[in-house]
Amino acid sequence: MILLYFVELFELDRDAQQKKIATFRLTEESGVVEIEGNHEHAIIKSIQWEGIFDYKYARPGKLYPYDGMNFLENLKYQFRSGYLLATDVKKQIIDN
Amino acid sequence: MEKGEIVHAETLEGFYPVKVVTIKDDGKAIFRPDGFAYERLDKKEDLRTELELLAYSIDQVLEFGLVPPVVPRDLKEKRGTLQKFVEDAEIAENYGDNWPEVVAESEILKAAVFDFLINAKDRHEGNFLVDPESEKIWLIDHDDLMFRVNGFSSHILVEAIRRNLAELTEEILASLIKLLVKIDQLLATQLNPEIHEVLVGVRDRAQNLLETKRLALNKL
Repeated sequence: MILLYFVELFELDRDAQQKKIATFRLTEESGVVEIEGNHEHAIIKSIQWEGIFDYKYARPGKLYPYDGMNFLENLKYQFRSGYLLATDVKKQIIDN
Repeated sequence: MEKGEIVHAETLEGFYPVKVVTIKDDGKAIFRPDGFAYERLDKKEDLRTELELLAYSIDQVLEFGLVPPVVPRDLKEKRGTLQKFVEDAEIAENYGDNWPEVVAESEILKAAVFDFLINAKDRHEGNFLVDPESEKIWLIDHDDLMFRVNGFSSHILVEAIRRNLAELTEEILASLIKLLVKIDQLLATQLNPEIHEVLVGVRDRAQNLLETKRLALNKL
């Protein structure tokens, strides 16, 4: 069994309808967050290449997918306005 | 928005319990409640509603028109804010590094002045909207970022400096004078020490801008 941690990111369109634009997935084995979604989407590109801020520990510098859980658990703080909204870190057990 | 009948409210997917509400004859708005657990380690008193309202008030006094209208409102016994949903704009992040190309330079300068005044520490491209048609900027998410956290320099302010949009116009200087008068009035009535501290910070920065007549990153 593999333990999967994931965060979903939603965007509001111009009709105020929410749509999922990405799922960020982390397994205990890999340690690097994988992004499921359209990698050409500007928001996903920005998250992937520009990184996000460390809100939880307020440490200088940015967090990237290779920062694993630190990156994953800060997504909900970076994206909290409603226009962009991330879920908390969720867990799922996957059978091999 | 303050009293209009809410005909529909939908909780969005996400960690924060944000709702999109429809107000009779008044369009849509975004409701964000107070008192929601915040795991951050340097957490201070929850002043989310007060700070959102303060940001809107500052924008109103300056007459910059950057912050969508926001009002205090209770929804299902939860206190929070309702902020007008901006239909014609998109998150700046959707435009990547090109967002400054779709807005007017006058908007970038005003937004940079606003962020300098409130000491915005969380203005990344997910926290403002752009409307390419009107070339406008809309600033959102002022729940936690004024003088209270160790964040980062506003990306709008950095962009303004990079574009050499530092010199303040006569119109902006006149707005700053109006703001100083209003802040003195507010300080006389403000009892919350943290909000008082924020207002003093805004006042000091407004005075600084009036003296130098230009924005500079080294003032941050």
